[in-house]
Amino acid sequence: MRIEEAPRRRRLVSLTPLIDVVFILLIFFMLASTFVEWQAFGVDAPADGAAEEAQDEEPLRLYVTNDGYRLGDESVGPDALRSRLEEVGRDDAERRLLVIPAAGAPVRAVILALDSAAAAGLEDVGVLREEAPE
Amino acid sequence: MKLPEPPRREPEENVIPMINIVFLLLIFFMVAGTLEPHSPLSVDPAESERGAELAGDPLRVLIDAEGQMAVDQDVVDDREQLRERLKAALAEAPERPVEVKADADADSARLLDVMDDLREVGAERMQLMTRREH
Repeated sequence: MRIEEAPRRRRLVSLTPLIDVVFILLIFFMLASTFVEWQAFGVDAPADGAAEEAQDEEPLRLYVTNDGYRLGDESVGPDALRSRLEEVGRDDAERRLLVIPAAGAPVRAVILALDSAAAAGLEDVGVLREEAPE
Repeated sequence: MKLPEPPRREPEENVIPMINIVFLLLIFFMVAGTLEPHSPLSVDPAESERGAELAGDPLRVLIDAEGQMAVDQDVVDDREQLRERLKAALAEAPERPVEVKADADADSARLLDVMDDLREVGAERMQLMTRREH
């Protein structure tokens, strides 16, 4: 009597093309994907200076200069900026802050100011162009 | 004449662990990385600790360290062109959010120029992009 051969385990579909495709996908995603985590500051640009003055409270002005910051009339270094703004925030978190970059100040310094203001809990922050003193 | 059977290759045993690893890598890069559209200018943004989540489907405005500007994929030569491109892009959807991605070393005066132009063409939502600091 002839015994039937035990059914052979079915060979998988050839794996080589699959591996090729998976490798190509892997290389594509390795090259194309980025791991930068973006976030954003919502910036409202006040329409013009005149509208600002209509408010009952004078907004706090933070000037960004080429070598540091000036809060009102007081010169503040980049390191002291956060603690200084936190004082302001503790005092009055509703206080409007205007960040006024001088010509030539890098965007980095403006971002640091916005970041410090956010850390200090100040929410009403605007960015304004430096005006010629009246 | 009976030829000896060619030795059967049995690749599966060795290949399967490799495929597992490759699949894991593939899934990692697909999930953890994000695909971004190609950027016409090289922009190294400033870092910040805080910041809001990004809005969906934004119009992207780029400013590189030299002050060159681009809207989405197209480099614009001057502010005149920038305004035209913005106007065209925002004509259909004025509430479309605008992402401003400025290099950390760019002049903030340039950033203010762009913000002025955005306001002029009636952009309603503007976000200044930063990289999350770790």
